Amino acid sequence: MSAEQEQMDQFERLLELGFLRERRKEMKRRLQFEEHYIERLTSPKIEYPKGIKFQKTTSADFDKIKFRGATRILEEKRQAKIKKIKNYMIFIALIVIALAAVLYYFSE
Amino acid sequence: MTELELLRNDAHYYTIVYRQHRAVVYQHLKQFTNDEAYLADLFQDAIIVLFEKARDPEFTLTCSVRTYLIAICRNQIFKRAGRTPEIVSLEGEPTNYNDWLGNQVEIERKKSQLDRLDAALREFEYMAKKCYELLYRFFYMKESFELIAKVMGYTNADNAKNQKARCQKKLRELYLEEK
Repeated sequence: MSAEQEQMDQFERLLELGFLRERRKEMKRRLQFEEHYIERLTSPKIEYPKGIKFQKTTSADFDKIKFRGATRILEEKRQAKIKKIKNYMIFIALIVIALAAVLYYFSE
Repeated sequence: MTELELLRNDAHYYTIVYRQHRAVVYQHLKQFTNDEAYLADLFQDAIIVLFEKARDPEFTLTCSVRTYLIAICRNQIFKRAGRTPEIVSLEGEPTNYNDWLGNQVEIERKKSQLDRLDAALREFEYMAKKCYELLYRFFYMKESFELIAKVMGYTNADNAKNQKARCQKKLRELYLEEK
């Protein structure tokens, strides 16, 4: 194995670890939030609001995945395609019905 | 759908697993310590181990998720106490979390390099958004080249693979400049 290839492999491993660290951090943060949320539910304390009253942290604030999952995107595309085909078919059916009605009217 | 399948298919299902099993696992672990913060830390790490394992398609669970989580927590207690980990095996499946721990140790050892890589990645995200997305999908979201090719508009998986190599090379140059 050439030295350059070895360096590239080392960098790939570093990249892998970098993203792994990021994912673990995100998960840990979110789970810590869950823990805090459960604690507040099980032993509620009276909290006197200070400053901004209606700014709440929700679990959705911890979803830091930057891009939507590929399977989800592809599924959405598939559904959009199906919907488009359905619309075309309805449109064609309506035209056929209208034509049939016109033909029936003139045939009498 | 089993819990393992739900974990595989839903990126956020682990929070539900956390809520479902928390009380029972804590109850079981209270024989070792009553420190709630320590227990929470253990349990959170166990959930992360389970989630990462679930992502591996070859991973199968022969026991219940709860038993598995308890076993990981117990192994962690022994490991953190500096004792030889008692590998709690479950019906022929060792719930050794050494590979997870191995990665964690490596992450801590390479902290300065990883911090520098983070800085390079932030710049890279701004500079080459598409390349960043490709790398993010591959390394963070663990998507296959086939899926990446479909969703990012590459002609096939090989093309996406070649593109990944090019992006990685570009990022490496940026990383070396950061030095």
